[in-house]
Amino acid sequence: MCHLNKAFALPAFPADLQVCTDQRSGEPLDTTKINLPILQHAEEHSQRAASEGACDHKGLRSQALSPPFASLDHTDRGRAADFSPRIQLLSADPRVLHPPHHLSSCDREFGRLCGGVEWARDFGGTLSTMAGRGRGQLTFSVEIVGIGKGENLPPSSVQPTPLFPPLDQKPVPLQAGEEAEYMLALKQEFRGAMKTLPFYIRPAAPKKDVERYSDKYQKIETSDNSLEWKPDWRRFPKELRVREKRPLRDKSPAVPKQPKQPRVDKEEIIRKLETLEQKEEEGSSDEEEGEKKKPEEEEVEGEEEYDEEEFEDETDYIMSYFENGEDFGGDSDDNIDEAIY
Amino acid sequence: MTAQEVRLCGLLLQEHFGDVVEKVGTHLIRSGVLTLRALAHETKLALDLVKKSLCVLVQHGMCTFGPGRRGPAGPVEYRINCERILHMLRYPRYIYTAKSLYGDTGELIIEEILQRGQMTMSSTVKTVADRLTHNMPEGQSMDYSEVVSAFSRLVETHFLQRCPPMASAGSSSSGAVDTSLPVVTQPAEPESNPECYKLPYINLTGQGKRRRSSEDGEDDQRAAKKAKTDNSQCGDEGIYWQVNFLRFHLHFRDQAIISAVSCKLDQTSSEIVRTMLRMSEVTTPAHAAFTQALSANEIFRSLPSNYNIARPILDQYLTLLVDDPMEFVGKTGDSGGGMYVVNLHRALANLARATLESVVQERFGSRSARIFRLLLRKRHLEQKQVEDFAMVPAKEAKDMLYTLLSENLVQLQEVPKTPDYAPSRTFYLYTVNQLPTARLLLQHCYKTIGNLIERRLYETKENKRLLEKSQRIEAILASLQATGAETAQLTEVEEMITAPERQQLESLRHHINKLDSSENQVDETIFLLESYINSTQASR
Repeated sequence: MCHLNKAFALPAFPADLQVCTDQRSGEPLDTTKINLPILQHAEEHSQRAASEGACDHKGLRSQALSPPFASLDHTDRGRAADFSPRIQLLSADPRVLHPPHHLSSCDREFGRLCGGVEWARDFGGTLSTMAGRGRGQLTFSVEIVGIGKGENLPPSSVQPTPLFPPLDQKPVPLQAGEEAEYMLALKQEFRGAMKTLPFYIRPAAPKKDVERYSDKYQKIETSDNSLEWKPDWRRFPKELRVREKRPLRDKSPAVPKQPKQPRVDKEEIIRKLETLEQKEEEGSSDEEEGEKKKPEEEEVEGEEEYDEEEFEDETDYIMSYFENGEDFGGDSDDNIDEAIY
Repeated sequence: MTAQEVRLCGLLLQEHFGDVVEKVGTHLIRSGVLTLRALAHETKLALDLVKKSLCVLVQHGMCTFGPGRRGPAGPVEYRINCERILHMLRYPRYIYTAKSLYGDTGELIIEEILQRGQMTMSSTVKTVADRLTHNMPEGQSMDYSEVVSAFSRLVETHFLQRCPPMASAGSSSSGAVDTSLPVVTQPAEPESNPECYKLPYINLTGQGKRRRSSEDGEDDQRAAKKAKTDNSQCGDEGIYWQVNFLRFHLHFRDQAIISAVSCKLDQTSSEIVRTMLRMSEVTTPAHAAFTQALSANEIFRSLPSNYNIARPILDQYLTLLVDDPMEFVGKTGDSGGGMYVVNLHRALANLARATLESVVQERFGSRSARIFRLLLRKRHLEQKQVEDFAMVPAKEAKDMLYTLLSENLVQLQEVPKTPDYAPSRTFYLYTVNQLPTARLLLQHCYKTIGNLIERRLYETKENKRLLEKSQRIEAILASLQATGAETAQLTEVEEMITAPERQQLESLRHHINKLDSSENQVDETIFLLESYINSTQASR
């Protein structure tokens, strides 16, 4: 069944050219899951016929109305039939579909049963099975949709349409005139004006890799977290308010933080204090847990970092990789920091 | 929200409000309704930035907030209004309309309010007066009263409306509600406020202030402080005004109908239709299918005085309009010399149909357009019938039909002769459904504008260095000219940009202008298709 369906598998279509949608879920149809009744029962018949030999055309028809169809209820068939001609018609358009040339033995049987015999019946036998197979195993006569017999159809395409296809018709020129130009000027002015208004929010400047001395003297971009315009807070939810407490907090950033970091290096302390100062100036409010979490997280990270770092000498040498030859420090089990080799 | 709409909204937010608001906005569009915490967590942005972005979006009316699923005690939930973001495409058109109706003053009022989302009347008047004064020659300044009168006219014709007042949940009777953070709810419709179009009384006298470029900084601060203290004295605290987009859209719709009539028939008939629409402006509700019935006598009396047409000629024109296949005007009765209505929904449908036909014509040629029009009128046709009616040779007709089918502009309908849906015994009929095709084209339009914006951003980015250089040189030139430099110095500075660079800049400017005006034009198509689709939904 699956190889039959692969014959009708659609190539990669551009996303918005979704011709077939599943009626039930509205999603693009996965053709591998199609339950085409005709193909299905033909498959079963072909398998049976392969063992029994060629079966009569009329016999096929009568058997067509037997169990395989009875097993399907009307809605299924109706639904399947809903998309089957569309798919088959897509296959009728050779520019769109490309039935593979190599078909398995099952398909050959199928072609003989449905394609060859039926087509021979419709076209008075002028259309050979080979031509029928070459056009894809269609279950209806393409004459209905207008493809004549033995006609040279354009070759089918196997790739998505090019990104900039050559246009047959040139596009109509744009409207020129005073009104169009004025609106153009208005549009560009509006865009420019919006960039200068306080509503244009720029993300915080990324932290530079190394702190530079000139940072102190250069003007940093707005590190202020509060809005530069004053909304009417009666019309806004209270939770959107960012409190600004710049003048109060300047005095005591360092004092409460010091006792928390007893063991850390001097440089660590200074760095932490600076970042915390900045954070205080940016105006985090006490009630917001989110604010608190960040400096706390940073502190925690700092402490973890500290734990990983070796204190004392700031050398590049890992302290635990100290091979003194003699039993230096090898007897003491207290210092867990050193790895024991 | 379709993928194309979301993409376009993202691009518009990025252009006007920056990357942060874009991120917050697109995430909120995709997720539907979210609380502040959830939004901050999912976008992985700093909480402060998220708050700022939400403030900006609420200020501009693009985001609404309300009590969450857990009732007034739970956290506030935010929802984005996608349509409102897409209206940003049409801002130049709104401003231009205000200019054509109410002059420069009206234009600046609408522009200010669009830039800031919502404003009080007093602050608008002051800002606009200052801007007008800035452009006037020395010694003149714009009086506040003129601006106030322009503002009042805009409000009277409903182009501006009050923002809906807040209903605080703190007044509810449930005592268990934690009143430390009262949830503020927004009512849905601004029109539900009975004072929607009532002008507040403000005592605002004075003139616009001219800003001197030399004392920029101090003056601004002083002016800002003054504005703050003045605000409280003006008497319209808490009354904010926003642009009434619906009214503008009705105006655009009327304009489209009038221009269609004048293209199809002649100037006089379009004047008659314009008169009819003007007379029924205030009496027709926004989503009505036709205007109020007007008698021929009334129309005759209300025609503009420079159109001296005799009464029988007017009757002939009306008969012509009624008989026209576009069905703009219909006759509903015979009293008063004949009762006539303008069929709004039908006119919109016809305009949308004309748009579809013209798209097919320009894309696929006039013969494909002939087939398309044929299918629109005759509904269902077989392959053979299409060839016969369209008078197109079989091979080409088949080719064209398949092209249209692959573009999904034409659909296939099967009609079985036998219950087993045997393909050889089924009719396959080609058909065109106007509404789904209009929706498809609308999505194409959104995608087009998205592509245009992206291409413009790409072009700007490619030539960023050159643009910055030219901006710096212009700044240098301006400062040199202000301090009175010699022409030799000026030419020297100008020559810093070489000739090929100048050419490159010129072509860049040309491309960007073209892309921008294309956006404006595609937006006109979008407006027509959207109005048509909304009209079909309203009538259901």
